[in-house]
Amino acid sequence: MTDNPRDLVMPWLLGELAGAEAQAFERLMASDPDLAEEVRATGEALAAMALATPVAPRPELKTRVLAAAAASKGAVLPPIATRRSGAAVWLGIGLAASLILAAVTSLEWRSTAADRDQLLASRDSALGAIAVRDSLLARFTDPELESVRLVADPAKDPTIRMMLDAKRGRLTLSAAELPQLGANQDYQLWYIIGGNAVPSVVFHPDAAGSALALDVPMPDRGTITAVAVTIEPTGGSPAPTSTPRFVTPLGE
Amino acid sequence: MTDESLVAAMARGDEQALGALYDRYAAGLNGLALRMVREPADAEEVVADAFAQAWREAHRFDGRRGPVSAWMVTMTRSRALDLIRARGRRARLKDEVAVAMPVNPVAMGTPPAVPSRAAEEHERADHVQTALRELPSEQLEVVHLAYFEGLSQREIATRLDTPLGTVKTRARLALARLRNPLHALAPEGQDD
Repeated sequence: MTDNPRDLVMPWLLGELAGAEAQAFERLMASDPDLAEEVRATGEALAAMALATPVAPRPELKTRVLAAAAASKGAVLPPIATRRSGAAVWLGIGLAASLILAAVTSLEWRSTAADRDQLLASRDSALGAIAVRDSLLARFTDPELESVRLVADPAKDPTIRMMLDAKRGRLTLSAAELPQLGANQDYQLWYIIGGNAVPSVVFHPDAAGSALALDVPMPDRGTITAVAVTIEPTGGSPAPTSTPRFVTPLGE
Repeated sequence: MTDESLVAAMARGDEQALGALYDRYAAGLNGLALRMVREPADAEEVVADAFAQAWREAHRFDGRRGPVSAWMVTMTRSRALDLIRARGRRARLKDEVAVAMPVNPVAMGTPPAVPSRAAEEHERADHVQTALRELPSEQLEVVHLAYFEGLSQREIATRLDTPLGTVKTRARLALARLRNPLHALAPEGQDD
């Protein structure tokens, strides 16, 4: 402990004291009301100083903060939509932030905090959403995976990006700014193999036009000459019923 | 509704209370974070993390340890320091200290207009503004390095090539003036 306990007011307030030193200072505060008052007043003064240069954040930050809070109370992922039950995990959302937003707007939250089980389930669900985000980030930054970009028109914004994991025979798909579909329509991914269109996963973009699919099974990559996306009736089709909206060749 | 009432409501799961608290403090906290991390996007990340923490830990808030404003500021500052340390920016910030230092008191700006904040907090903010304008630059420097850059007093002494005792004295005098702008300045160096 220093000779002058007043020298420790700021270090204590800033969390620089630890262990025995912090405990000694706290004992001193407990026995010295003047010191305790000095600490309290200093803390308030430092807070006022800290808040003295306001800079308004972007308006969407509030939406994000509130969405995250709501999600922490019981986020539920959008329903899986795939023609191959269990073959792929589909989230009708973009990245984790838009995932949470979509969940928030589509759910009626329970307002009570008394239901501990609900809170625990909510926490687990939120952690699951975070895990999905982390998984996605890991895949899109894995140097061993092949990146494929599907474009409708190079001059337009909508894109679908896929990361092909040849070792695992899986792909991850992320779409942005997709045109909205009718209520009875979905997008569907196709593998072009030997001149035939092999159906794959079905997905529906969220309100922002984003969609994400993880662990989509893919046939032996050597046989895939192209991938394409069409608009199909809800649930997908066994064979394409419309011309491809997105297409890109694969391989050499 | 007081800040404490809002935090109590947050502890009950009231998202509207979180929104109200956000309205009161987001700009101030974002300004704090921006001064520390220097990049707007990072600052907003810090603010979002701080409010997320406040939401999670609202039930732990203890008004006896200080007001909500100090609680929010502490969380924001901690998150900002985490970010700075995680990204190894401290070395760069050291080089930028001359830019970062609010040596011009006018640059400290004016307190945010928060209609719902208690009058006494407004008064305190005014006092702090006055004190900041009148603080000798060497005292302001110590406060800045400790508060906004997270340096310990020993680190500040090394950075400024100044005896530790002098740093402690400057800090103590500065804090005294921040608590009470009318506090008479004692001669510096008595503890050296």
